[in-house]
Amino acid sequence: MRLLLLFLLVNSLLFAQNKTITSGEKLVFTASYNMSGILTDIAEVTMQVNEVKTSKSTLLHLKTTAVTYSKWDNFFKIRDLYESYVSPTYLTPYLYKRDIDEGGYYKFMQYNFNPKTKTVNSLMRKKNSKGEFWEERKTLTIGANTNDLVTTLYKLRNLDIDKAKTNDTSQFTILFDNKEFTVSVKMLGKETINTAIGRKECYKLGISLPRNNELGKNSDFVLWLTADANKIPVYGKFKIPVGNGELKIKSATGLMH
Amino acid sequence: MRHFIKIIAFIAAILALVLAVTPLSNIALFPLLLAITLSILLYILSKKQDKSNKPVQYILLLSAVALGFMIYKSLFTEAIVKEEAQEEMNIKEQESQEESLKELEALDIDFE
Repeated sequence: MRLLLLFLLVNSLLFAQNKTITSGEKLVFTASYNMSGILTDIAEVTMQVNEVKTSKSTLLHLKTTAVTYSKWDNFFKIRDLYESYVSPTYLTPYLYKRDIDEGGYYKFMQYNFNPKTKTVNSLMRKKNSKGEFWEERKTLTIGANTNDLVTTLYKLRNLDIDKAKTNDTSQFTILFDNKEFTVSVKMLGKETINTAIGRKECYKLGISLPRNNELGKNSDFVLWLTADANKIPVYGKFKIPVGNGELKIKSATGLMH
Repeated sequence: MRHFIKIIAFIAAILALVLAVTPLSNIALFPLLLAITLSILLYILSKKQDKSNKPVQYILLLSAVALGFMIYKSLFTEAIVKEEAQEEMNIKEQESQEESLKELEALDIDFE
């Protein structure tokens, strides 16, 4: 009986069908940073889903961008692009790209996933102090449940949260900067909050990162997903060693339900 | 003591004014509050010691200008992404997608 339950749980995490995301979906957020107790709007974050056709298949292109608002552009310019190409049914990642430009700091990461062999061909490109680019290529072996960051954000929305009870936890393994780490997502309960797209009943999820993660220790995230079939992330709070901030939804279009 | 408070109050008022014209206008509130508090203290000390109120007037004038900038920016400055910034991002996305399509063609994609 226990084995059967375990099998069902693993199965639901690994092979959960996409029931929430469709091509044409566009979510726009405002990212704010807390400066000495006062929140300042810094950047616009957009999460978009499009269909992409190759000669052999049709994939979903999950794209997340962050661009600084005009008043910040001359002080600290951000042009971040995170994208993932996944299978439309199970959101299995095939290609992931992270192209970040933050106040002059540039980094490019690319993962070519091979789900059959559970390997990833990784490419990292950075700029040195002289402004010259250098590259590093690696082949990594990953676990059966490992995804990239963007895919994980969308897979989170495909969890059967409606069946979860308060304090239930799910684990996600993410490949970030060529390292795998596990994040725990804990159901904190339900809350009704006011958002730019109306008053919404939401699932409140706590996301904890391992202590030795890229963002440093004591990182904490709380995410509010609408308690409907779309499970839109409408509000997020984050705490990192250099401060804390918020992510608030501005608009949501092209939703599946 | 009065002289020290005067210097600190002037520094706080100037800092508030400088911050108020930058994107950090929100945090100008802290030096602004400090400048106003110190100017009140300075006014009381000036009254007691029968000294001129001129520095208090200058500090309050600087604070008022800073406050004006802060209020104006919070009411009329909309958080928008510049058209050029959006265009720059669109080009980056387009180029990335073209590259990605080449990569995807080379990958062995076999759905479940």
